[in-house]
Amino acid sequence: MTGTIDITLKVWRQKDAASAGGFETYEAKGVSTEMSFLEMLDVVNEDLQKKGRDPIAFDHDCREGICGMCSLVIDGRAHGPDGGQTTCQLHMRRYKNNDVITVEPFRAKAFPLVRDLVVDRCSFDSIMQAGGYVSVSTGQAPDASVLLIPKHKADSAMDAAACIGCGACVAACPNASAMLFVAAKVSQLAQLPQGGPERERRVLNMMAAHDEAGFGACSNEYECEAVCPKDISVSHIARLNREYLRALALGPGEHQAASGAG
Amino acid sequence: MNTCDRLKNSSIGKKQVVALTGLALVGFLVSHLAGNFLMFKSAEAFDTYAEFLEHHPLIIPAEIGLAAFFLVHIVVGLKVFVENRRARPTRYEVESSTSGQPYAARWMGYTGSLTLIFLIVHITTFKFLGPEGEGASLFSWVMFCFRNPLYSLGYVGAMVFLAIHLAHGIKSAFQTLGVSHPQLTPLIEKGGVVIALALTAGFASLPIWALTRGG
Repeated sequence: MTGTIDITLKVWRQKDAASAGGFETYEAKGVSTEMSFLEMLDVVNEDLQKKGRDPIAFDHDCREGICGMCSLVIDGRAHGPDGGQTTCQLHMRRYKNNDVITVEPFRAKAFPLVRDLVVDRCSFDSIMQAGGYVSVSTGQAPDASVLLIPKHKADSAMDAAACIGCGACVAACPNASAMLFVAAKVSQLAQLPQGGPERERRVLNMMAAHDEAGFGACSNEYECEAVCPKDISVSHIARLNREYLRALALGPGEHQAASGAG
Repeated sequence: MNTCDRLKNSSIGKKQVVALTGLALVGFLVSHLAGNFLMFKSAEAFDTYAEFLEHHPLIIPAEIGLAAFFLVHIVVGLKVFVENRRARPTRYEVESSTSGQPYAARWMGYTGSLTLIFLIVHITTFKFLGPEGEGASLFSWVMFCFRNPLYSLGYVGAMVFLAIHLAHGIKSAFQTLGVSHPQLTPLIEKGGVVIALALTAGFASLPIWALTRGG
């Protein structure tokens, strides 16, 4: 079904973090329903530039739902009205003629606003640097059957590894907590033998970086899970809580844990 | 940072302290309600039980312990609540909920604070006020208070807030302590709500009974 629709956009405009921001309204006429949401914004921006006005700044990169760069809170929901997808995968056929769409940036103290709809998500990098890695031996690649990983653990680790670090969990959380993000990263590595050596240090350090960045605490409302484009389950948050308790009991330990998976 | 500092300062540590103390306080509520139900048996049974507790050698340490659990739960809980508010300085124009979860979780700070106000009134009324000395009946004093419709209304109202608090609190505590199981978790989620409603309905039944009972 191809066609065109007219829509009204209410977009948050803000020159920079120091300036005051506000909503501006744009009429987009004859928008093709085949366009993605970001392509629609491109068209609106072309029109703005023709009129000599500043285009709307927004983040994007791969536009195929795997890079985690696009963001936006659309009508109160991170990544738009449908679950399990990123903003770049949202298409205008989802909307009706004369719809009014409100577009806001991700809001969190730990995601300071850069311009318009662009926020700085470097705090996720700080969390990753604090422990989102594994130690690997250099030299020859190990034999594939040396590390035995049960299928259910490999599956669960893979589910967690689907996180693209977009920050929608933070945007949706009433407390702007990044627990689902940290949970995905910790859960992925805690279930694999490769994650064993840094297991206790990882969860303690990543959570310290999380708190340091100004993210809130999880209040188990599961808004994060509902908007996550990769459908990361809150059961990973339970595992993060478990890993944290375990690390509290064992201490950060510089010992090389022999039992990686568990 | 050592383990104690992490429990005190980290976001997960604080929540785990709130979860543990919260579950312990639910345990206290169960024993408290069991004692209250003696009122249904007879005035003598209830007064004998009250007398027994009052003169028990361990009552002072037990009260101190209980107060400590309450204090830690309240102070750390409110701290988390305030910090969570600060984590999003600018609110959204369009506020929405996608998870379909009830707002009980969002109101924990408010329902908890209202329960605290109730707690202060409650302890003042039944521990520090009322008749003293030989032959004083706690049963009569409780009945006297509950026959005041205003007092009973406040009591029942507080139980509604407590029910909302516990409906989220019990299941949330298990998640925070890391319990997540394909079969158990749905049971805990439903069971938490059932326990919350059963406990608060049990407490609320006493003032309603006192009001509706003749004489």
